Amino acid sequence: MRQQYQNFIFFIVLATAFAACEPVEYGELGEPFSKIEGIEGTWIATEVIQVDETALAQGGMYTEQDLTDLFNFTSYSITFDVDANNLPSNFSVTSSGAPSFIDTTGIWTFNDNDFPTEVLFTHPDSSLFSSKMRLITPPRDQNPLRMKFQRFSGGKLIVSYQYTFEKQNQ
Amino acid sequence: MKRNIIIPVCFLLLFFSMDLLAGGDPRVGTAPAAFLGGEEITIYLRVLATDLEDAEGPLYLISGANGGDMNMSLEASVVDENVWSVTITPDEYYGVTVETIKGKISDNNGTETNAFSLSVFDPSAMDGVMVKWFPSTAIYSENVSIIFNAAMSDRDDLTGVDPIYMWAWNNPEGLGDAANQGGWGSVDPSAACEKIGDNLWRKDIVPQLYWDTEKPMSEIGCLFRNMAGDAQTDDLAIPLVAPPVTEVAKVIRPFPVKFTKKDIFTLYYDLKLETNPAMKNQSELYIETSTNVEEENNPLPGSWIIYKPSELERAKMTPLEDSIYYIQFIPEEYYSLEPDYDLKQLNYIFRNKGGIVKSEQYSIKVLKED
Repeated sequence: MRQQYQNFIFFIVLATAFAACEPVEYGELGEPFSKIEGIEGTWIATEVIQVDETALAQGGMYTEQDLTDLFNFTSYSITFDVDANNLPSNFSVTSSGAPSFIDTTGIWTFNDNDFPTEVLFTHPDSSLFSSKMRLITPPRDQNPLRMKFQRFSGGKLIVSYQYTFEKQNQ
Repeated sequence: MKRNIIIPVCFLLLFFSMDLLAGGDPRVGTAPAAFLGGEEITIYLRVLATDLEDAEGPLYLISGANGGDMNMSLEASVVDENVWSVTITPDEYYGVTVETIKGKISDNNGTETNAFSLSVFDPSAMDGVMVKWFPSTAIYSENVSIIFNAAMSDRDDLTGVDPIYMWAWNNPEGLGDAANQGGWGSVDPSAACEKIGDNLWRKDIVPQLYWDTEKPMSEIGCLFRNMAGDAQTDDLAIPLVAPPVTEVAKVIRPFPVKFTKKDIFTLYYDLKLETNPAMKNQSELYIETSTNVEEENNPLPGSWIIYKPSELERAKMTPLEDSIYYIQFIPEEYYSLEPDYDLKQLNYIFRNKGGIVKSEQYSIKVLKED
């Protein structure tokens, strides 16, 4: 009887081991989302933070200042248009009196359409980009768009303005 | 009898008050941080919060070696705001085998800082020790020398191995492996250490530069290894800290510290620290302001009697908390500057509305955008 019980246990363990060795099917990775489609549309500023990069690098006490409710920043918006081939085309800024550190109209592009880290803005009278914003997170339609404008002097980053935008409902 | 007591007491008081009036402690470091007497070094002289803060120069390092007189004078060069430097080979400069350097910083007017001292690296500090770093409190934006004693290797024996490489990474801030050092199997020559003695190796880095980052860093992870990577030490962690906060309480505080004429600029004014007692009684504060040393672009020139109250609003400061007031604007708009106007500084006098009570004039530098 005891031998039979041991055989039964051995059979169960063996069956479990074989079952565990069955190949597991994993779901397939989806198509990578298009960053161009992800940024298309009109985005309204919901938060603007000024960062003192000098103080930050030096471990200073005062490194950030919330500007959201100042200078009419909550009325600041950027519209990114996409052409018929789903490529970057025009952009326009509606500042409503808020400061704009980038051009207000022209052509926009990414520095890399697949893996963008910067949005480049080219003034209509220029052939080279004249201002840019650094992406904090990859642009995606349903997520807030987070970008920062960085000011350099003497080759050093001195101030940045970190924007969070929400997409305007179409 | 009483007079006999009073005179020495007066001398003592004079001595202590002179000491209090001394010019502040500079923060002095070197590159490399752990240096030898026979090699060329750069001495960084940081004069923030000393009497030479914001000095236009020239400034001089007044110094001597091995406890001797400070009778050597060398003009320093500007490196950054309130950071000056001199480059010397200590043994050659002082004409002796240097063990210690004592110095102070001075300008042409006799204003000088308190004295500081530096010590040449002493190899005996590594006796029985595998790794030490200098300074012991390493700052992420300044030189740190990591010294490795191969004779004390803890994992694989690296005694006599030449060259030695430092493999470095940063986990807490997610900066990862230092990019310059190549791959584990093909380590880049820039990761090699300098041989500074028998089985003694030095890697001198500025952490933020080594990782090419402007982020504050809290740690260097590292190990020492041979070229092939088949012999190494165990992992080490070197804590890093921020530079000491030297922001002494001041009457005015600009935010940000460095800015251009296109930036949003906030000027804070702490009435509590104002030296003019008449100002401290004011509850409504205004700024009288202009640009550059020529005092141009004053938005409200002349007597303020001629202006409407609505025009004076632009000069009015907003109370924030306790004794702190602020005013915020974009310089090129506030001063109605022409696009090509070269704005170098802003000048301020804090005053009451009538202008009878005023502070002294303050100036703040404005940088040019790249």
